[in-house]
Amino acid sequence: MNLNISLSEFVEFMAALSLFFAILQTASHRLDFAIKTYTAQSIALSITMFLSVFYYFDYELILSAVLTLLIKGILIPFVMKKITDKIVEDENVKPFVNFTYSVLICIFIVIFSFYITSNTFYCSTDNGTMQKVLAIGLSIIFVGIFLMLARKKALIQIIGFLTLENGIILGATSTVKGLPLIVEIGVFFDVFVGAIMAGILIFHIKDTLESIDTSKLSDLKE
Amino acid sequence: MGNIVIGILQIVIFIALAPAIKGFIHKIKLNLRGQKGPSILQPYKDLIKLFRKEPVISKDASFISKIAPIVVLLATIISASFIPIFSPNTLLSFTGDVIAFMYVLGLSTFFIALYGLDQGSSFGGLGSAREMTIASLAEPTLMMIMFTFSLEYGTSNISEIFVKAHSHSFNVPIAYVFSLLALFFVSMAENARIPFDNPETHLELTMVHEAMILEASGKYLAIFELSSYMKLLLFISIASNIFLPFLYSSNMLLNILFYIIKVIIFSIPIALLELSVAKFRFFRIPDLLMISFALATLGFVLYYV
Amino acid sequence: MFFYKKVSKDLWKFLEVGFSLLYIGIFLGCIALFIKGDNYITVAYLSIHLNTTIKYITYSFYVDRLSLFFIGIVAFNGAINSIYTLDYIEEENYDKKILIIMLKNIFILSMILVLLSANVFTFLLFWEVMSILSFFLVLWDFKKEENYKASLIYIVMTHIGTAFILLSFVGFYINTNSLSFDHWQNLSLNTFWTTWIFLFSVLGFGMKAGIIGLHNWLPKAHPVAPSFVSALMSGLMIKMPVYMFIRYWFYFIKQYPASFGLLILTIGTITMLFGILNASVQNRLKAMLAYSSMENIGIIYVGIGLAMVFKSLNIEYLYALALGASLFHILNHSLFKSLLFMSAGSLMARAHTQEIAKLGGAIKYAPKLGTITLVGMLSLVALPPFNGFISEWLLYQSLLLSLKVKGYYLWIASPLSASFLALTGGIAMLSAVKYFGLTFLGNPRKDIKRKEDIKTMGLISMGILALSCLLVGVLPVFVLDVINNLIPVPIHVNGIFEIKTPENFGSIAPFFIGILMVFMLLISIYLNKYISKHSIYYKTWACGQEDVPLSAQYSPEGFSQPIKKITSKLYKDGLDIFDGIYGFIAKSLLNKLQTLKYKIQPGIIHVYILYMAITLIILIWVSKIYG
Repeated sequence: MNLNISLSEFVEFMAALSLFFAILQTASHRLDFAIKTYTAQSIALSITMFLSVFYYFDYELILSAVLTLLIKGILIPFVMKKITDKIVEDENVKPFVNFTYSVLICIFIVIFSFYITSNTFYCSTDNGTMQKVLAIGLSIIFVGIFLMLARKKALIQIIGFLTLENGIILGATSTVKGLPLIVEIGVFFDVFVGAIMAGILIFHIKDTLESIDTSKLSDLKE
Repeated sequence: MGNIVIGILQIVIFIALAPAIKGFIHKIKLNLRGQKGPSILQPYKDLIKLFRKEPVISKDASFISKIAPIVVLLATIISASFIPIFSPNTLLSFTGDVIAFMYVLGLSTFFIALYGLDQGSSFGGLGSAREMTIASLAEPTLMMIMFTFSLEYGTSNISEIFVKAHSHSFNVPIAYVFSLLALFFVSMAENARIPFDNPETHLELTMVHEAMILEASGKYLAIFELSSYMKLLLFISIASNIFLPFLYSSNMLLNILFYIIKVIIFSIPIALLELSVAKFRFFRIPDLLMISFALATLGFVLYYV
Repeated sequence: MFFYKKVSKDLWKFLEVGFSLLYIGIFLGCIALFIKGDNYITVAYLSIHLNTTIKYITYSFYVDRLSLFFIGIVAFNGAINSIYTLDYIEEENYDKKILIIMLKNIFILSMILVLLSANVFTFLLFWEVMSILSFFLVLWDFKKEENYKASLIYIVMTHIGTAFILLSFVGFYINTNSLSFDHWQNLSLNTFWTTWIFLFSVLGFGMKAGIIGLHNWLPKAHPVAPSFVSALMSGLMIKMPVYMFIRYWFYFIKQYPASFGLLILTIGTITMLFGILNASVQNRLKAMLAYSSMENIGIIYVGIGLAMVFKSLNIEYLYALALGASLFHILNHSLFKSLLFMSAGSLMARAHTQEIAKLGGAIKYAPKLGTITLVGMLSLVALPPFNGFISEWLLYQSLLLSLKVKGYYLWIASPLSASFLALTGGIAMLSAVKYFGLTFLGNPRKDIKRKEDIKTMGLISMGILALSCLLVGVLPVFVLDVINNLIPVPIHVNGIFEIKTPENFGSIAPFFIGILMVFMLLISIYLNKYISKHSIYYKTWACGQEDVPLSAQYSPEGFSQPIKKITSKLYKDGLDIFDGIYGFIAKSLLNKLQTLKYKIQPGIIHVYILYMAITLIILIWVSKIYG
C-alpha cells in the first residue's frame, strides 16, 4: 500500500479538523475547554489557509494565514482567558439543549451543508476539494450559530460568534481564493475590538445581574 | 486442509497472545506512573491460579450463571475466528462478514449482562444497566466505521478487506485518521477502559464491567477474564490489520513477528490515554460517544463525497 | 342430558381444535399452491356476483404468490395461537368461553379474507370486520377504566385510518373508473394523483401499522388485551396494512418519484428510534413488547422505502434485495413477537400482574418458560443464530449496496439509517436484558402464589415457535427460496448453506455459525456438569450486610434511568410525547369549538326562527336561479 497524500487531500483534512474542533466546542462542559478548542480550531484554520497557498498559487493568502494565527490563535484566546479569570464564576456551561443532542444536531448540520453545496460546482480539475471545503466552511458557520442559540452563558455565545467568523473566512478561502487583503485586515480588527468590547460588556452584565446567564437579561424588562 | 490448519493456528496464537497484551499495557501504565509493576506474564499466572479454584455460586443464581461464562468465551472465540491475524485464511473466512462480527460480539455482551442480573444483587443490576447503555451508544459509531471500510474496499468480508488493504496499489486516504480516532474511542468504550470504566477497581462508583462479574469466582472468573483479554486484543487487531497494513510479507513466521510489533504499536496509545485522563462521570460518557460518532461520520463524508 | 352438559362445557375445546385444524389445512394448502402453483393457477380469479340491483356490490377474490405468502404466515400463527389458547383460557378462567373463541377465530378468518380480497367493497367489508372484532377482543375485560379508554382510542383511530384508505381508493377510481383491483395493475398516473394516493395511503395504512405520529393506539391497546389477542394483533394485524402498501407501490403503481421512497425511509428510521427508546423505559411487560412492535414496523418500512427508491430508479437487483429483506422481517417478526406475547401471557396468568417491579425469579419455578422466552428475546435482538439476525443482515447489505447509486441523496440517508439501525439494535438489547433479567432472573420481588411451569399445550405451541425461530435462523435458505419467487431478481443462495449478495459484496453461512454455537452449548453443558460437582453454594455478596430485602435488587425504573436521562425530552411522566401534543391540540380545539357553539346556539328562540327564515329564502332564490 502507498502512503501518497495529495495536497488537496491534506487541505480537506485540515479543514475537517477545524470542523471537528468546532463540534467539540458544542460538547464542552467547561469554559476554558471551549477556549482551548477555539484556539485549536483557529490554528487548524490557519494551517489550511497556509496550505491552500500552494494549491491556489495566490501569495496574499500567506499574510491572511499569519494574521489568523496571530489574532485568532493567540491574541483573542489570551483576551478571553483574562476575562474568564477576572469573572470569578462557576465554570460550567449551562446548556439549553443538552450535550448529546447538540452533537447530534451538529452532525445533521454537516450533512445539511454537504447537501446544499452538492450540485453547485462542476469544477473538474480538483476532485471536489472546493466543494468540500466550502461545505465545511458553511457547517462551521452553522455550528457557530447553533452555539450562540443553545447556550446560556455570554462567554460561550461570544465564542460561537468567533466560530462563525472562522467559518466565513474558510468559505471565502475555498471559493474566491481569499477575500481582498484590505477587507480581511478590516475584519480582523473588527473582530478583535468586538471581542474586547464584549469582554467589557460581560463585566457590566456580571455587575448588574450577578451572573453571565443571558437568559436572565429578560429580568431587565421590569 | 491446509487452510483449516492455518485457521486453527491463528486462533491458538490469538488466545495465547491475549493475556500478554493486557499485561503489557498494565506494565507500561505502572512504569510511567513510577511503579515497577508486575511482570508481563502475570495474567497467565492469574488465569492458572483461578482455573484451579472451585467456584462459589450464589444461591439465587439459575442455570444462566452456568452457561453464560462459556457462551461469552465461545462467542468471543467465534468473532476471533473471523479476524485474519497473519493470513487471510481464517476458520470462518467464507462467512466472515463485518456485520456478523459485530452481532456475535453483541451476543457476548448480552449474556454477560444477563449474568450480572442473575445474582439478585444490586451491583449486578447497576453494572448491567450501565454496560448496556454504553454498548448501545457505541454501536452507531462502529457501524459507520464498518460502512467506511466496506465501501472503500468494495466488500464486507473481513478476509477480503485484509487482502485488498495489503495489496500494493492501494492509497490510504487521509480521512482514515478520523475513522481511526473514532475506532480508538469505541474500543476504549467496549473494553471497559478509562475514561469509560476503570479495569483495576472494585468500587461501586466506578464499576461497569467489574460490577457484572463481581459474583464470579474460580473457573468462571477465569473464563470471564480470558474473554475480556481476548476482546481487547480483538479490537487492537482490527485497528492494526486495517489501519497499518504496511508490515506484511509472504513468509508466515515473519508475519507473526510483524503482527506482534503492530499490536505493541497500538497498545501504547491506550496506555497513554489511560494515564492522562481520569474516569469520566457516567453522564459525560454519552457525549464522548456522540463525539466519536461525529468523527466517524466526518471520516465517511470526507471519503465519500 | 348429562352428556349434553359435558359437551357444552367442553364445546369451546372442540371448536378450538376444529379451527386449528382448519388453519393447519390452509397453511398446507398455501405451501402446496406455492410449489405447484404454475400448473394450476397463474392468477386465480374468483368472482361471485350478488344478484342485486346495486351495481358495485360484488365479492371478488384474488390469489397470487404475495397473498399466499401472507396467508401462510397468518394460518401458521393462527394454528399455533389456537393450541396456546386451549391452555390459556383454562388458566385465566374466562367466562363466556365460546364467545371469545368465536370472536378470535372469525378475526383470524377475516384477516385471511382481507388478504384474498380483490375489490374495494370486499376489502372494506373484511377490513371493518377485522377492526371491529379486534375492538371487542381488546375490550374483553371491560370493567377496568384503562381498558375502556384504550379500546376507544383504538376504534376511533382505526376508523380515521379507514377513511384515509377510502380517499386513496377514490384516487384510483377517478383514474381507472373501476373498483376492482385487477384493473389497477401497473398504472402510471400524473403527479397530482400519485401524490394524492401516496399521502392518503401513508396516513391510512400507517395509522393501522403504527408509524410515528399515528401510533398512539398501539401501546395502549396491546397491553390491555388478553395475551393471545395481543399476539395476534401484534404479529399479524399490523402486517395487513404493510401488505396493502406493498401492493400499492410495487404492483399497482408503476412510476413514482424517488423522493417518495426516501420519505418512507425517513419515516421508518424515526419510527424505529422512537419505538425502541420508549420500549426501554416501560415498566410493564406487554407495553415494552408493544413499543418493540412499533420499532419492528419501522425496520420493515425502512426496507420498503429503500425498495421504492430503487424501483423508481429502475435498479432491479437492489430493489429485490431490499424488498426481500422486508418480507423476511415480516415473517420473522410474526414468529418471535407471537412467541413473546404468549410467554408474557403465561407469566401474567401465574403472577396476576404485568408490572416488572412485582415480578422476578421466574426461571426458578418455570425453567421451560424461561428458556423459551430467552429464545424469543435473542431473536428480538437479532443475535445469531436466530432468525432476526438474517433479516437485519439482509437489510444492512441493501443499505450498504445502496451507496453504489451515485448522484442521489441516498448517499447520506443510507449510512445514517444503518447507524440508527445499529443504535436501535443496541437499545433493543438493553430492553431485552431488562425484560428477561428483571422478570426471570434474581428473586421474586413480591410473593407469587402460583408457581408452576407451563403445561403441555403451552409448551407445544411456544416450543414450535421457538424451534422455528432457530430453524429459520440456521437454515434461512428455505425461506429465501420462497421469497425469491416474490421479487424480480432472486437473492443468490449457494447450496443450502450460504447467502451471497450481488457483486459478491458480502456473504454469510448461518448454518456454520449455528453449528458452532450448538456445539458450544453442548460443551458448556458437559463442562458444567464437571464444574458443578466441585462448587460451593453461598449467599450473594451484599457488602457484608445480612438479610438484605428482596426489593434491594435492581428495579426496572433504575435499569432504564441512564437512558432516560440521556434522551430526556422524549418522555413526560410516563406519557408518550405525542399523547401530550395531540392532547394539547384536541383540548384547545375543543375549547374554541365550544365557545363558537355557544355563539351559534344561544338558546334564544328568535335566533332559531331567523335561521329558518334565512334557509327558506336561500332555497327559494336558488330554485329560481336554476329552475
